[in-house]
Amino acid sequence: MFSTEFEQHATGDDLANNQLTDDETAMTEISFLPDGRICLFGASREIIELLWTLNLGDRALLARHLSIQAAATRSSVDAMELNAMEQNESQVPT
Amino acid sequence: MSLGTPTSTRISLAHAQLQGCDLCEHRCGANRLAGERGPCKAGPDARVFRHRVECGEEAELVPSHLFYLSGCDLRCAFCIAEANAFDPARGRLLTRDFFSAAVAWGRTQGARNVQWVGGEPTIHIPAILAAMEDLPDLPPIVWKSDFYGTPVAFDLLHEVVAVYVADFKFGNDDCASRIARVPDYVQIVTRNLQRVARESELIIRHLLLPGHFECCFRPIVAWLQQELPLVKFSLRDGYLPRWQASRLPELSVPLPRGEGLRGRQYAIERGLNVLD
Repeated sequence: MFSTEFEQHATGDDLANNQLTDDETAMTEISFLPDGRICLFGASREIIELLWTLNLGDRALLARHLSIQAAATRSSVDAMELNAMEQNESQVPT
Repeated sequence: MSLGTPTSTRISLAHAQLQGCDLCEHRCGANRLAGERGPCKAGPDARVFRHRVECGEEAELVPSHLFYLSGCDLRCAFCIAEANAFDPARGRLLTRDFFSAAVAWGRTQGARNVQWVGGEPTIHIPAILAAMEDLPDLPPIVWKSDFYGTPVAFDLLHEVVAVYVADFKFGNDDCASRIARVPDYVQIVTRNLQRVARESELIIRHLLLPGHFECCFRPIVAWLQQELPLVKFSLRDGYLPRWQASRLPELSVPLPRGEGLRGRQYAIERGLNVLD
């Protein structure tokens, strides 16, 4: 089914997002060498996580997997703190 | 001034470079505003041919929001960005509105930083600084570069960039000249590495090239061992013969199996701080 979201007038947000959602340059390139090595270019979070599930025993993959997990944890902590701050502010009498 | 936010004075100084460009060590002096073009072919505008949040960069940087700018001062035969790297007319015009919206999107994707890559971002310093002017809550700026810039270029970036990722590609001038068509490569790159190592956080990256273990990799390791033994060293072994690599016989094949591990062990044995 066709999406109609790109038929709207372009805004700054659209300019930023369309490039990612509608453009093949945002794709991860994966090359399989004949000897079984896998080369990645522009690896997305999803590709790293997918490869991680294959238990390839690759140190570079482990390091990046851990960084992604750490970033996700930080983001959720930040979101919780922001939420708590907003709740506190809303309780301040005016 | 907070780190990452360029001042209007600095933006003016950068803009002046467009009237007599000395941003890279070609020092062509082209008046880019008047339509003159140097070896990089860049005009006054910068263009983004790709931007996306990536997780394949050095682990401490990911997730990183990369902005790929077209145009480059080098002519590496094996460039993985291929034609996009060498034609500065490719891509979407870099404007403050676009950049601001893109950064906001990147933040929703969990990006920890903004990373300028190319091509080569150094040739686009004026447009990059202008795009970042007065942006609130700008993430830390990562500057991925070939380090063939002039001292003027690094002056303009000082205290704007949080982390430099330097691509130390060649260990001698002959290989640099033959593969990337640039003179005086080693002296220029090592000079810049020394400076940035004193002033900022630095990661030095090297992509192992097939057939260049002795002539390029070993001299780079030796220099690092001597001059910057504590610097973070990112060794890449994912070379693929792309772009015009086939014109150079030794570069027309993938890196031999085992060469990555061999290089890593070699660097570790010499005391370098090799990243995973």
